[in-house]
Amino acid sequence: MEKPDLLYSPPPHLNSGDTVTRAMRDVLLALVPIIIVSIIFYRLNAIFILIVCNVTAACTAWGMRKLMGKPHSLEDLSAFVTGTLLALALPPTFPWWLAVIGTFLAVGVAKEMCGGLGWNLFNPAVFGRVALIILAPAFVWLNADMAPLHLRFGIIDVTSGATPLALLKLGQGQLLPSYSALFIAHPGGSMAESSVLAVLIGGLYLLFKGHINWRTPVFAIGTVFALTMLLGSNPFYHVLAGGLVFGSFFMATDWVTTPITDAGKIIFGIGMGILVALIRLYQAAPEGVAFSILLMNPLVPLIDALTRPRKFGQIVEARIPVIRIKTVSK
Amino acid sequence: MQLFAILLSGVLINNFVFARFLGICPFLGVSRKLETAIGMSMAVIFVITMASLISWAFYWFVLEPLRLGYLQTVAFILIIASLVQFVEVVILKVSPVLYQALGIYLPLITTNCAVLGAAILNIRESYTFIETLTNGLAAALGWSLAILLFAGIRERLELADIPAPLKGFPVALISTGLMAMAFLGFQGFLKGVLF
Repeated sequence: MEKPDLLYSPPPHLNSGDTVTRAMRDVLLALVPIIIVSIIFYRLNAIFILIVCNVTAACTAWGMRKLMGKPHSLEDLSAFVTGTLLALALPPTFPWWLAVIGTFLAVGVAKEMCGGLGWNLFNPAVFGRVALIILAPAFVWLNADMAPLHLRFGIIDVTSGATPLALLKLGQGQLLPSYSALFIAHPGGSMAESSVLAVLIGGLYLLFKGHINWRTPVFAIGTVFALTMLLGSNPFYHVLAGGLVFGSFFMATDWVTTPITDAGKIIFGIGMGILVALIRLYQAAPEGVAFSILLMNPLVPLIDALTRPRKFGQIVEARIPVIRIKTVSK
Repeated sequence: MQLFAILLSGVLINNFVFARFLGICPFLGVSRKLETAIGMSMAVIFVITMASLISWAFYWFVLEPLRLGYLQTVAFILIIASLVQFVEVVILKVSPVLYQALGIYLPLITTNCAVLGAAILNIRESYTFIETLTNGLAAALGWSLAILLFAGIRERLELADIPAPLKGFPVALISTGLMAMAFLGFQGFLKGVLF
């Protein structure tokens, strides 16, 4: 891959050592706590889905780039980040053929067909998850045909029941788990929803490493908290249950598909939070984090254009009319 | 509340581009630059709203009393065509720069399915005058929202390293499809609370 010549300041230069590979490796490291929690709860099921998604992601990225005549780019690890993120956004007993289709759509269509790493318009993992939700009716026949091939690795010691958000929706508040259980570890839903604590550890690691900005997650979670409280729901459950924390730390801070400017990041977070709250409270579906991020993604070029910072020394036209003193040339 | 539901439905849920797939031609043609997209949006907002109102009046005061409902399509096309001619003359006079920028696409709205679609949908849903006004405006606003969002994306797509067979319209259509999938997220709002 040819490297564009990006140096534009006078020397001397210090090499920070930051590369795409390194950043991606840090994201994968940040996901380790969530993976460990998933494996503790779901044993081999979690490992199996993770392997399926990662292998599909790698094969799709390699195959698509081969078809397009580009050199393969597996060493930048971005395909594995997408694969792992998507796997963690799925429930542990998710059918593996759907996981394959979702990963293919994520890496193949949403990423490689739109120009590859750095050019994708939508977060690939979020797109894959949403595509699986939307296309579910189209897969009914496939599920019927493939059902005998469904693999289950041991019995999961989890009661399969409604997720906390679904309980909240149904008005069965007495069945809800405690805040502390939800925060530390509560199985159910998709794998990344199990433990807010694990997600926070990973998120803080990324913050510490300087890969993500605190603005988007803080404003996204804050907006959901404030809105659900104003609209008469329980804000603590809306923050602790579901994929909000995972989505806002790992999906809404994607470098490619979110605004570059600080003001833009805040707008993105608030917009996402509003959509999450509205979808959760006013739609039939109990969860809307993935849709919210996907709906905010096409707004990013406009947000960036509107929040472009002032250049050093640039004079902004004064909003207040300035009285100009006419000088008469002699 | 009913009017709000129509407005929301037209702009977000049954978006003309993303849900009904109407008006794709100008959507792809004029979305290369933000400025032309804004100009086109203005033209479309004006044309669709006016066309909705005039075709509504024409249908209920002329075609329906004369039992000529089957002439609906022909009559509407005539009305819309003359309306667009009128808009074209006005823009040429008022802003020649905008006229230059819009180029071929302004006369193209004449035969555009989005305008005709809005007019026919108003009749089919048997909306009242105010509802027709709201629906026409909502359809046009939804179309404008789509093209404004897409113009921003389009400027990025022009720079991306996309293989030759996909460059230009193919990748634009793929991105439109991806955006349409994102807009499906609004689908549940109608069933949830509004109706």
